[in-house]
Amino acid sequence: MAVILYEHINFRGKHKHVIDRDEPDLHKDGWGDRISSIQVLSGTWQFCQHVNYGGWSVNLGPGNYPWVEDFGIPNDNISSLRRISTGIGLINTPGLIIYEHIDFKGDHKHIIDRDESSLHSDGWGDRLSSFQIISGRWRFFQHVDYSGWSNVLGPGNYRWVEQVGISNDQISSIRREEAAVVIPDMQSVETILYEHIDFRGDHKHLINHGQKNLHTDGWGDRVSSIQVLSGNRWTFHEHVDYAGASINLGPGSYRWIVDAGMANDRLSSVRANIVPIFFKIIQGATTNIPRDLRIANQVFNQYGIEFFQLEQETNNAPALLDLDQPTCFMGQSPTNEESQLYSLERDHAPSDIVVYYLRSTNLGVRGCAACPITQPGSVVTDGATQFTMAHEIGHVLGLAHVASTTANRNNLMFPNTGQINVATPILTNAQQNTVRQSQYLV
Amino acid sequence: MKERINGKIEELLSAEEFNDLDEIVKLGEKATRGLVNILSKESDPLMRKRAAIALGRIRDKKAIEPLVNRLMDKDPTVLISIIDALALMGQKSYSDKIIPFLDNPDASVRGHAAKALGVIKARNAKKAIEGLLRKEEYEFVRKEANDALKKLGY
Repeated sequence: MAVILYEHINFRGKHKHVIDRDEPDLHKDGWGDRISSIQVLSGTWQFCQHVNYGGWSVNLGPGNYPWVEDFGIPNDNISSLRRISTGIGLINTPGLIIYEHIDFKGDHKHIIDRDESSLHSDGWGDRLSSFQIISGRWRFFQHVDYSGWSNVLGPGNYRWVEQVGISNDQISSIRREEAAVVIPDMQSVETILYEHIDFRGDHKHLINHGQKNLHTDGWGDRVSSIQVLSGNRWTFHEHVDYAGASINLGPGSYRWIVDAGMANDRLSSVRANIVPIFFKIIQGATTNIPRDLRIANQVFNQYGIEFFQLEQETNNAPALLDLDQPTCFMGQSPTNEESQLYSLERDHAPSDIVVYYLRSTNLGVRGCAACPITQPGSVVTDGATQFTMAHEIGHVLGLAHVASTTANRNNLMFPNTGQINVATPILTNAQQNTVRQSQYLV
Repeated sequence: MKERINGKIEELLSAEEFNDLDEIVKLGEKATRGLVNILSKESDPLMRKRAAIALGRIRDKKAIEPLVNRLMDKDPTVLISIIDALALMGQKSYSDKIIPFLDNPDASVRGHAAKALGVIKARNAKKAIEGLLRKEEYEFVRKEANDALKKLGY
C-alpha cells in the first residue's frame, strides 16, 4: 500500500512516500501540517488532523487528489495517516519520474496518471536531464501546452535525454500518449533509499537498475533505511563497483539498515541484478517469449541474475520478416535492413537490450547477437531452440562459445543449442564473472 | 571419408549462428551430395534452408536439378534460399521455374523471386515482373521488381 504526499497543490513542491507503513506523527520529519495534495497509489488510507490519528479524519482510496480541500481535508492540516484496507491499486497507470541531472541524479519529480501542461509552474521547466518511464507511453514537448517539437517514448531508463533526441534542459510539458500495457509477470523492480532511520529525510529511487557508485550524487555513505518494493535479487554493497561487504535484501521495509546487516551510512553501491530486455516481434514471426524468458531465467537465476521483460511490441514490417543479414559477427557493418531493424520505433532507452523476433535471415541463423554496441540486442528466428534467446543474450553479456566437446553440452554457450543435453544449462565460474562485469547487468 | 564429410556438414549446418558457412564452401563439390540429401530429406526447415544456402555458394552444377526439384518446399524461408541459390548459380535456363513465384502468397518469396530473375537476367520474365508491379502492395517487393527490370535493361 503506497501514498505520495505533496507539499503544494497539484502535486508540486517536495514529496514524501509512505509505503506499507503508518505515520503516527508527520511532524517528526517536518511533514506535519504541510500537505496540500496527495496521490494514493494503492489501498485505502485514513488522513488525520492530529498526531496518533486524532481529530477529524478523511479516508481516501486509490486516485489523484490535486487539492486536499476539494476532498474535505483542510490545507496544511494533516498530522498523521494510516492504512485502513488493502485493495487494488492504480494498475494500468502510466507513470514516470523525471530527474534534474544525468543518470537519474539530483532532484526528482513523479508524474503519475496525469499530464503536465507546464513544468515551469513548479520549477521543472527546461530542467530535465534524465527520466524513467515506469509504464505507459509519454510524449515530451519543447514548450508549454504541448507545443514545439516532441518525442514519444515508452517504458525504460533514459539516463541522458540527448541519447534519445531530446535536448538537455529543454522539456516544458509532458503528456500521456498511451496507457500502460500490462504484460503478465512484468513489473518494475524498485528500491527506495532513505537518508535517515524510519524512512525519513531525503530519498532516492532505484527503478529497474542499481547504481555502482552512490557517491556520484551524494548518496554514498548516507543511507540509513531502505524499502525494497519489488525484486528478489537486490544486493547492497559497502564499496563502489559492487565491492566490499554486502547484503541481499528481498521485498520489505528495513527501517534501520544496521538491523539488516549493514553498518549505518556505509552503503556505496546497489545492484538490482537484472538484465532488462525489450522484445520486438516482426509480425509473421513465430515466437514463444514466455518459454524463452522462463528458460533464460532458469539458467541465470542459478547465479542470482534475473532476465527482466521491460515491454514487448509487435511491428508490422514485412520487409524485415526475412532479414538481409549475410554474416553474424560482432563489429560487422550493418546492412540497410539491419539498420532499419535496429532503428525500428526505437522508443526505448538506448542501453536496453532488444531481442528482435523475426522469421529468418538469409544466413539462416537461429539467433545472432551481432548488433552494434550502441544498440545492444539480438535477432531470434523461427528456427530457434528453447535456449537460443538465452544463448544470444549470453553473447550480449560478453560470453563466447565454449568448445564443441561432449563435456560442454551442458553449457548455455555450446555452439549448437539444439545439442544441449540438460534441462537447465550451466555457466562456468569464469562465465559468471564475465556476466557480472557486463554493463547490461544493472 | 564420405561419412566423415557428412558428419562435418551436419555439425557445421546445425551451429547456432551458422558462421561456418565458409568451412562448408571450402569442402567444395565433395559436400554436394550430403547437402542435397539434407535439402531433400531433413525435416527441420532451418537445416534445409542452410543446405540450400551452402549449395548456392558452392555452385556445383550437380546441385541445380535437386535445387529446382525442391522448389516445391512448403516452407517459405527454405524457398527463399533455394531461389537465392539458383540466382547465385546464374541459372537463366530455369527462369521459367522461378517466374511462378512472383505470384506466391508470401511477400518475401515474391521479392526474392523478382530479385533472382533480375540477377540471372531473365528477359523472359519482363511481363511477369511488370504484372507483379501492377498489383504488388508491399513497397519492398516493388523495389525488388523495379531493380530487376533495370537489370533486364527496361
